[in-house]
Amino acid sequence: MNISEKSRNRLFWVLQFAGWGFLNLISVFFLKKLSVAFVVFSIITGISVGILSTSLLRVYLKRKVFFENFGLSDLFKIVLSSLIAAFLYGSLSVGLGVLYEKYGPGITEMEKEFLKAYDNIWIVVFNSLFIIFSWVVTYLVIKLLMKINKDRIERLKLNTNLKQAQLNTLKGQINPHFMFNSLNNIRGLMLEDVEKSREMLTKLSEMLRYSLTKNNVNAISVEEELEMVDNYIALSKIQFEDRLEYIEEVGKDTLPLLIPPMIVQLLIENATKHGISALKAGGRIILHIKKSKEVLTILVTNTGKLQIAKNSTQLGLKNIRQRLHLLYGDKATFQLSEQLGNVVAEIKIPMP
Amino acid sequence: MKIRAVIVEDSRLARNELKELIKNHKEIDLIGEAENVDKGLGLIQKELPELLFLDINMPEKDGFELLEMLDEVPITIFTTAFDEYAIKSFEYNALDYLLKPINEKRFALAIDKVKVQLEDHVDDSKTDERLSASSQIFIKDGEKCWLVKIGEISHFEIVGNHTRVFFDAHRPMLYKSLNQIEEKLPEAYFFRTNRQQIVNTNFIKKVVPWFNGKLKLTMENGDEIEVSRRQSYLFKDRMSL
Repeated sequence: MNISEKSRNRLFWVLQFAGWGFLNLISVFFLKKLSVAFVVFSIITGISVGILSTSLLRVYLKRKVFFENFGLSDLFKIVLSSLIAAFLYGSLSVGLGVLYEKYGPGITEMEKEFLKAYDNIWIVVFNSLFIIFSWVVTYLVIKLLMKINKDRIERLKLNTNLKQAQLNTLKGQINPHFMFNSLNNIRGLMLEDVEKSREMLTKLSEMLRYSLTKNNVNAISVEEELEMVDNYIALSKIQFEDRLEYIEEVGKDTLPLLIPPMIVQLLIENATKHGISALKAGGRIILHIKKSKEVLTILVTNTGKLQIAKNSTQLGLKNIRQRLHLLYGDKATFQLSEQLGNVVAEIKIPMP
Repeated sequence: MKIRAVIVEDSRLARNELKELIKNHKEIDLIGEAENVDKGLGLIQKELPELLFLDINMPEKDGFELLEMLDEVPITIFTTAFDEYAIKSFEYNALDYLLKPINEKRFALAIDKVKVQLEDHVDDSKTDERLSASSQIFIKDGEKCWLVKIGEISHFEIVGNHTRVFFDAHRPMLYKSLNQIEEKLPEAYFFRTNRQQIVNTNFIKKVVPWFNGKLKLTMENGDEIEVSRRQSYLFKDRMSL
């Protein structure tokens, strides 16, 4: 059950009115021999004062106190704000009581007794503190329970997504079309260049091995990923020949850095599939990897237009987005754009 | 008998690979090759080959688009690496396809089938620019594809600027005008019954006189077609009624 902000607000106000209403009704009915006017006045003021002070308290707590990283300062904030709310509650109650005594209709003995309690400052202090702190505890417990529930749902969701992503990676790893085309091209290549054919077979085996063994790994060095990319490019070049031009600009300092496996590979595959293979004259793919202070930027540029093919499932792109989100939350970004006849894919990953 | 063949395939190595397979079949005369659909179209229109080896995935336009552009489709063998989806879109006249890398035995079988098909061809004499009964046309309507022999078509009907083709139990849309189609149809047995329709006289089951000197035809599939008054005279004349 994931409660939206709107229904959470509704729940708050229902509980707020029910709670204060109930509290005031019973406290008044405990005492007998009170005039109707007095009862009505004390119920209305009691409810209003209670709701006013605690709602103000809630506004503050909602803005300033978060359970995500709860610390000593948060505890301090809660106590302090509760004290202020208790002070507000106490002084308003006393103030309104005094007003009633002065301007209200005649007061019975019993009512005098009742109001006398307010003359004792300590009773007022204790009363206000008790009520407000009970409210705070109730409020926090409800909030905490809701958060626990929400966390549990999020965790479940994350788990399913993770599994799905793993499945997608598995599925997307070696595109069968690519594999069979490569095998066929190697067969053709054997007729003219046996040495190169042998080399290509090794590259294809390396790709197969990589995809069979690395799909459970969450991180891999840029260097290792690049080996896969280079194999892919070499095999694509025997398919596209001079239709494919590839440029690699990778900062040396980025080679040992860890990234999720298959991310660069999928970007390159996408660039080849939608960029080069769709163009009669072919085009160019540029891979750029650089590191600034805390961010690793992977940039893949290819000739072509950004358009979603009619039968494209966009599985590759979804896969990248999902995995980045799972691993880095909102700290990693992935953008696809068209710039001056080129399609640019940019991934930014935070580096520890 | 020599089979005149062309290859349309974007990968040079794949073309080489295919040529190597063709070498073992002396009856195939490879008269040309093209690396994309536009070049392939020119080549086919110029050489009018009997057999086409066609890759599906090519830059800008795919193999299906090439077939759509042709008035008459040669016997086609698709060569593809992994296109279950594309192959399955064929509804009618399952054409042959070979998966790359191509198995030599499968290749030989496919060529045998081509020979049988071509032998059926020989008896119909092809005269002018028109199609013959065994000429194939390619129709792609939405996700589905058909390769149909002209002689198997029952009738054509105008739908807006396009034409609906009736054959067997199918009735896909062909993105050409009825007039365009009429120019290519063999006159011997295709007859324009009215402004909207052209029928294959071989598929007429029944002819009855209709009012105003018109005729009404009932086709093999049960469809009823009215012949306009002007065309009814021609029709009677031709059918010696």
